[in-house]
Order: sequence, then C-alpha cells, then structure tokens
Amino acid sequence: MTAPLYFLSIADAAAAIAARRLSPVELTEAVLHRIAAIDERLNSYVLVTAERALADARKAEAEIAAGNYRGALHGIPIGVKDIYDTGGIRTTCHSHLLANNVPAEDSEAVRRLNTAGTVLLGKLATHEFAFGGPGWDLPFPPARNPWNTEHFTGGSSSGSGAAVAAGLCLAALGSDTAGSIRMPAAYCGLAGIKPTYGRVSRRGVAPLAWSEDHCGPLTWTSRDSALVLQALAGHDPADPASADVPVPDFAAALTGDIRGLRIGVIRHFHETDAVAADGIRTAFDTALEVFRGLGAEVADVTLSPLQDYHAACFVILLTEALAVHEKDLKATPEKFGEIVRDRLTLAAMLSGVDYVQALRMRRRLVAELDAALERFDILITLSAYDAAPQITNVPKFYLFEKPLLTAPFDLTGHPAHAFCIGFNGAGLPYGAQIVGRAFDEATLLKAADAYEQATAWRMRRPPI
Amino acid sequence: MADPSVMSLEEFERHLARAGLAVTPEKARELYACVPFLTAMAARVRADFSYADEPAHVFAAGRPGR
Repeated sequence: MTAPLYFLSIADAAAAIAARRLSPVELTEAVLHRIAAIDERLNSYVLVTAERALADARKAEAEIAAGNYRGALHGIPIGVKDIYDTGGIRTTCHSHLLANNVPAEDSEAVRRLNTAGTVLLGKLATHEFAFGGPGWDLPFPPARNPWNTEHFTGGSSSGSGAAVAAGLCLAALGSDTAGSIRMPAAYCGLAGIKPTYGRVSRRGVAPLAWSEDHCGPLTWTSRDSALVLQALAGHDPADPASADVPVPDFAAALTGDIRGLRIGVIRHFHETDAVAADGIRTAFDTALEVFRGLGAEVADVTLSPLQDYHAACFVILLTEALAVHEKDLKATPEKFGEIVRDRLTLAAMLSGVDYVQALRMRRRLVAELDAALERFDILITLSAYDAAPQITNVPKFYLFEKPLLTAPFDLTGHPAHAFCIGFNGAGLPYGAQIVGRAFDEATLLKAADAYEQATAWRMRRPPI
Repeated sequence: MADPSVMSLEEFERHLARAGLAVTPEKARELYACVPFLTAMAARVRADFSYADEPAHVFAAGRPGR
C-alpha cells in the first residue's frame, strides 16, 4: 500500500483487514494521529472518543483473529454527525441548548454500524440542529474545507464532509433535509448518498423536518457509500416512516457496466432556472461525455422549474422545523445561534394553509418525477452551482437567494447520490448528483462507481 | 401567510408577537426584508389544484404510530 492508511478507501481497508494484512488497531491509531495532527485547522470533530475507538478496534481485531469477521465495515473507523444519538456519549446538535446532552441509547443508524463492527472515532461538527451555519456564536467553531481552509464545507453535515475528505475517518454519517449530505459532498469532493425516504431509520436522530429528513453516509468513493448503506438500510418499526422493503446487495450492483443505461439530464435546473458558473457547467458536460463513452444513452429531460421544488421543500421544512423548536424558541431564544433563531422566527410567517398547499404541490411533483423515471433509469444534475465559496462569504439567508439544486429530492423522497466531477483552477472540487427511482439506490451507485472508475478524480486528495 | 405587499413593518412585528416571538426593532427590520422571499415561496405552492388534489400526507388508520 502506498497511500497513508488514513487515506485508504473502505473497500481497500476491508480487503486488507479481511486478509489480516492490516490491523484495525493500526488503522485506528493512524486516523487518530491524523486527527491530532490537523483537526485543529479543520474543526471537523466536536468530540473525539479515542478510548472508545481503540477499544472498538481491539475488539474487532480479536474477533477477526478468532475467525469471526463480520464484513466490510468490521474494524473501519467512522465519525458520526453530532445529531445522531450515541449512548453515553455527548450529543449536542452543535447547540448551546444541548451542550450537556448525553443520550441513554444509540440511534438506530449508530446501532447498526456498531453491529457491523465499525470503530467510533467521535462526533462530527454540524450546522446547529442541521439547520443554521456556518456560525461563530455556537459552542464549537464551524468546520473548514480541507481543500482550502478559507472555504466553506457546505452543510449541514459540515464536519462529516471535512473529516472524510481529510482522512480523519473512512466514512461519516450525515443527514439530508434539503441537501445536507450532498452539498458537503460536492464542496469537499466526496461521494454521499441521500437514500430513499424511509430506507434508513431516523430513530434517535434530531429532527429538522420529519417528512424530509434522510440519513445516509459520506464516503470517499461510491463503492464505499454502497458498503455503508448496506449496513444502514432496513426496516425499523420504531421509525414511523421506515419502509418495510427488501434491501438488495448494493455492492454487487457495481459491475462497471452501464451500457444502455438511460440518463435524463435536468439541464434547465442549473442553466436557465438558475445559472451555475461556467467552469462547473463545463465539468458537467465533460462528465456527460464520460457516461456516453461508457455506453449510456444521455438525453435532456424537462421538469417543473427548480423554484417550484425549492418552494415546496422549504415551506414544509421551515414549518416543520418551527414545530420542532417552537417551545425552545419562545422560552430561551438566546440559546440558539443567530442563524437558526432568525430562520425559525421567519418560519412563523407561514400559515397552516401554506403548509398544506406545499404538501399538495409535493404530491404533484413526486408524480412528475416518477413519470420522468419511467422514461429514464436515472436523472442527473449539478449538486451545487460552483465550487465552495469562502467561509466568510456565505449569506445567512442563502436559501432565499437561489433555489437549492439538492432540495427537490428531499421534497420527493427519491434517492439522490452526489459524486465528484472534477476541480476548478484553485483545486476546489465540483459535484453532481444522480437521482433514481424510489428504493433503487443500487442503480445510482452503479452509475457513479462506473464514472469514478473511468476518471482519475479519486486519485487526488486535499493538500492539507 | 398575510400578503407582504400590504404588510407593514409594524404589522410584521405584531404578527411575530402574536406567534409569541420577541424580536428587537433592529432584528425585526432585518427579518422584514426577507418577507418577500417567503411570500414568493408561498405563492409558488399555490397551483391550479382541484378538489381531488390531496396533500401528500401519510396516514394509516388502525396502525398506531404510522
């Protein structure tokens, strides 16, 4: 192995661990040393659980030595966004409100990762309650982009994006209500999947908007996303939205063969509804040529304007978020950071009728997307309008200024997978996203994996 | 939501007060500038719906918790 251990993909690390060429303890120590060496510049962790990590790693090593290898995640060091409950470990939601909150039990996603044998490195920075950031009036500083620490990570899974890109964990849990997995994936040059609504349990994860919250992983490669999703997916009776549907073998779908795959390009989202920067549009068109070269059939598709999806997503999100936090917002508004407090306050301007009309619009847009996915196997669009902006240049109300390219699929619940499609002249990543039929994450991962195998972007790591 | 084209800053402040949210006059002015964006979103979710166009609720009678 020529790459430092902390830059191994999960697939490569798992192969080495399974063959007993790599010790989970050695791998965990390498990542912990990396965290100690550079995370003061990135702020990706709000809590490092080094003792727990080493205990997990020793346990994994002993189990594997005894012939009880659990699978691809056994002995793999991971980080967890600090909105996921971790039993006996502080879970703050990056908020003064929960500064001393220690849950009694793990969230279902964390429990499943524990069962798969992962090593818990710690809790990762987030925008406050997965909603407001980057903020400087919170208990912890905002995470910074490892490709250039003066730049934004995207959010809200900000620490997750920074940590995976910088080799401070091999995978991270994120959450996505309007793009909070896919935006950090785009800005930090990662793969990140927002599974179908109901695919991964939300139990024990702080809600932002119940009907739009999705849990999923951020990883270096799409293959790694498949491996982590495999452990996370599955019915959970304790989550009212959890879907009782079969879980396929996601990694088995990654054949590299996408000949004949029908790809619909939602070009108008980023060319006319709102306009992306020239450089990322060129990178996107180049990516489409790669897909054509792999044998896919690529054609444009037209949906309702991006603004329709964005509006319905945010009327629902703002209303549900205010319902979540109304009591605290009235009683102790000073305990929220300014961004969350202001956004929640504005949400009070929306009415019950606004909310119901947005839900009616949601049904219509779900049907529209389903119809498009009868003509195409997957859809593709950008996941951000450009590379990451400077962290001090992120508007507090950016969600009002330009519709989010990621929001449509939180509204409709369709699976969406972000992946890296290149870099700008300053070395900052560009991202796109693939969207698929409900519960067909396997096709998204297959297409993105084929793209990654055909390009060299996964060879480049942040210079930090 | 109330039509912001006819909503004054004072009405905006009263609306927040009725919702139980206290803001300073300075903050009220800052947030008031965002009201047109909210109005535009609320307008966009109003389409030519028919009576049969139901909201995308999920509700299953007889199945507790679902």
